[in-house]
Amino acid sequence: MSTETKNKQSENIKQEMINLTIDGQVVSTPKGSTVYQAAQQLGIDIPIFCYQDRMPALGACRMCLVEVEKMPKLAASCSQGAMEGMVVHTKSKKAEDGRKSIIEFLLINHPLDCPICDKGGECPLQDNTLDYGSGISRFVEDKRKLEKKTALGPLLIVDQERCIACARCTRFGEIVAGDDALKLKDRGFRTEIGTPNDQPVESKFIGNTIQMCPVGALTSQVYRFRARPWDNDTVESTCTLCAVGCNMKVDTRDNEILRVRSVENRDVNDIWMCDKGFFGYEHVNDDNRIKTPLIRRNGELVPAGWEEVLELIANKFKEVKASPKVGALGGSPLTVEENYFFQKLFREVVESPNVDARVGLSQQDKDQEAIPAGTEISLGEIESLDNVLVLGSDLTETFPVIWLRLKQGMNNGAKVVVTGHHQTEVSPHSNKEIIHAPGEEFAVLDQLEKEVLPTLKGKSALFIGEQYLKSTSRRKILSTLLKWKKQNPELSLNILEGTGNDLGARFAGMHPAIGPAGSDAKQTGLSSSDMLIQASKEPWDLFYVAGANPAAKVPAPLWDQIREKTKFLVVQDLFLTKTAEEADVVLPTLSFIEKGGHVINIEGRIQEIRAAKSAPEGLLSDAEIFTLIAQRLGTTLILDKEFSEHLKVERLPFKVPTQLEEISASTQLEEIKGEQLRLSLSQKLFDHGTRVQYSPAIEQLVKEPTISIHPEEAINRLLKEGDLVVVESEQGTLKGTLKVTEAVAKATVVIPEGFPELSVAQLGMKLSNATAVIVKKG
Amino acid sequence: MLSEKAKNSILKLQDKYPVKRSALLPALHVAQAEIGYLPQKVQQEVADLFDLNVTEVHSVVTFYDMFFEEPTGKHLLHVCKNISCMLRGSDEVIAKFRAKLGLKPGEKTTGDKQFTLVASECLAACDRAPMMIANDKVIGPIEEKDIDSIIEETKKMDGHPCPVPNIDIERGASH
Repeated sequence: MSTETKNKQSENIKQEMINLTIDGQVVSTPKGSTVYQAAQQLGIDIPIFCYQDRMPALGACRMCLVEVEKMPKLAASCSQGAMEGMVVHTKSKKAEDGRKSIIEFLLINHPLDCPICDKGGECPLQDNTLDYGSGISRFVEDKRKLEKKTALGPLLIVDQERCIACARCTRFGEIVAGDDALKLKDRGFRTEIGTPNDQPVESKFIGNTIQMCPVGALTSQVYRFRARPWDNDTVESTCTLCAVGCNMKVDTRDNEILRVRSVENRDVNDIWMCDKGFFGYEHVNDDNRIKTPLIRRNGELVPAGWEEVLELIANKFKEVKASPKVGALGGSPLTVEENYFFQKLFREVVESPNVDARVGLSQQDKDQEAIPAGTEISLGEIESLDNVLVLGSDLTETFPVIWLRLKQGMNNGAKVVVTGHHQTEVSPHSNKEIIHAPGEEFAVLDQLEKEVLPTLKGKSALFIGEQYLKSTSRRKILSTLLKWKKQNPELSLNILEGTGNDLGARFAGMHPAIGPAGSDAKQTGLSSSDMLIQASKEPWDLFYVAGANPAAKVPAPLWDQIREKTKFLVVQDLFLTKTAEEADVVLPTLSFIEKGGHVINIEGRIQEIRAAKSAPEGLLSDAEIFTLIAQRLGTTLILDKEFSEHLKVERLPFKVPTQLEEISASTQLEEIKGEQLRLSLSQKLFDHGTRVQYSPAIEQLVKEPTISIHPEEAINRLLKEGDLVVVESEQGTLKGTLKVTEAVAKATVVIPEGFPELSVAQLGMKLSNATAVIVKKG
Repeated sequence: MLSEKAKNSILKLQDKYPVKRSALLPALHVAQAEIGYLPQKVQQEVADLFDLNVTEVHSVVTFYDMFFEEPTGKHLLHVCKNISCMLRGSDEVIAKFRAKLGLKPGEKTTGDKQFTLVASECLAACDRAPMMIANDKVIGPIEEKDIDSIIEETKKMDGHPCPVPNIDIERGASH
């Protein structure tokens, strides 16, 4: 029976209840439940190892044995179906003896090296042994000796002796992540977990297996021997390293961050997180962080006091007040409140309308953009979808945990159709896939309209990603999707773009055309790329950059012109970025783990971040800096009551228009001439962005960026894998290493963003997917 | 490297099952019959033919005693060591075979590459315990006095068999 029909059946019989007795208490439970689940309903504790309620029961460890009357043997309650009239004893002598024996068997070969095991203190094996074991070992023989510290990549360490072969980690890779990262090897008592020849594990989600391991077999290299759990101080917060906004716990000891764990939130991340979330905090501890304000004297950036730099900035602000040549850039890593202050400081104090958080991101005007990023459904609803169309989105690289939710949806029977310019990690799991060149989106949509749309039944969702959104046809594409929605009211539209707190920055008004809470800006300013282009041509008074790195997002010659023509450049950041290195004043600031506030994720959910450790000495948050500057100019920055009211809702409403008017200004796709290919910009979870660069563990997961084309295109150009090639656009050139792969569509060249060593920004400002480029030998 | 012939045989095997992954076991037998054993590279090739992660193929290869990651001898002697056979003296049988074949501790294959001895998981003929399979011949109950003749008889066989019928490949590069 397929999973789908099984689900349909379980829906039909949902109301059918059965009654059973557990430890003398009668419980009514839906048909299809297990004895374990029925016991949970009564609050009866049954110990488990292999059972994990996000995956089907396995019944491998036998820890959950219970006595069922009229059954000859003890039953594993995790997999034993509850039946009408069943009488179960979890605390009878027989059941307790059975579990005691299981513990004894598990401990035969378990090394009991708890004093040096990172799991000690939060270990289900320890806890279950204490609660259900005999307390005395009868085992006098030699224990087996196995490898105790095999590193599988930079994050994971496997201790084969401690493994109890519960298969939680391997099944996570099969069922939840779909990456088959870890596997059971060999069989019987020789069973081990790992990868062939202990190769580094290939996964973006391995942190979850560390968290799920019920013993100390899988531990983190980053947290290794750092602390005992009871020594840690724990603060719950929200991850801001992508726009999913996973809920997390930050463990600190002596004011140092030691690790991050996920926190259950069924609506957002369930119990999962990605490895960037688990290990990407490390940059916060990095010694390269800027420690004092810096000021440029005689051409050099030298340390200065806060008083001096704030006074200097305040005076500059007075000088440039109301000048049209002033701009505020950045805001994605800042909280909603900080973005609100940032735009208010510029709009009201400096009197400049030029504010924009979208540095290096797609900057279509409101008409072209048509519908901004956001999702109609909550991320939790993905697990109960029947049909999903993923259009031009590389889920595991951009919204990793959305993939985990979608995979669970597929386990529940969802059918998934994927389209895009290249294959992704989702491809092998999809039911249908169309790989096509940029610019062919309408042909693909036509095909889907004929072949897929009529087959959609039940709850369906469209997920549209950056390959389609960073296109000059964005409005027209979205307009087609709205037409689909009209025909199929159960089809939701979900626009996946952006990262960090992009939605929060926009909601706070860090957008040249949009004020706080989605109001129209009183005066429309320039977009960040228009500001930069203007500053490259004529003198510019001031740029104030917070949490952005425009120098890395524009072609190098253009940046040189911008810098030359900009009279005063202030950069506020954690690290000395390329932009900061060339600034007149650099202000150090706080990371998302050292401050509080709100952030908004891709579904418009307003979530809190909380300071898990105190701020490094002498550093101020972005909000504090903005407030102090405003004070010097006689203004007190406060959150308007009206705006704070907006932050009290759970999710911002995501308004989807019923249709989009055609606008004549829509740009036509440029013609492809001769040898030209169409550009597709891709994203990587582990790129060389500032925060990954200073997080040593995940930095090792970064793969060398390449320029990828299809084998046929390579043959036509007499190119081969590994060649040094040049990509030429009308505006610039880019050199890099060639990768030849059938994963890429023909007539397409795929280049990742986020790598200074292969800076796609060199190809020009306002790049879009389908820009025509030439690839030739370098 | 697998030959085109072997790859084609594997693709044909995939067609016999509703889910192609089900053809993994016979496919590994085909690959092993051609190469002689299943080194990492060959496991990767098979994984690619099935769109599987190599971790999955490796897990299967290591689980079954019939697959070898190292080169084997020409003839395979699987002696069952599971409970029924053990109670009926398989430990002694295995020890005797090791002595006769001159295998040093830790060795599985004889120096002349004629025999590989595997103390195997259950071979599903407990009624004949202690039992073994020499290449594809089921033998049992084994008595100690038979061991010399079993070795001699096995020498006359064609060697390590491939249980997948009618496949068009060149056998055993390693033999």
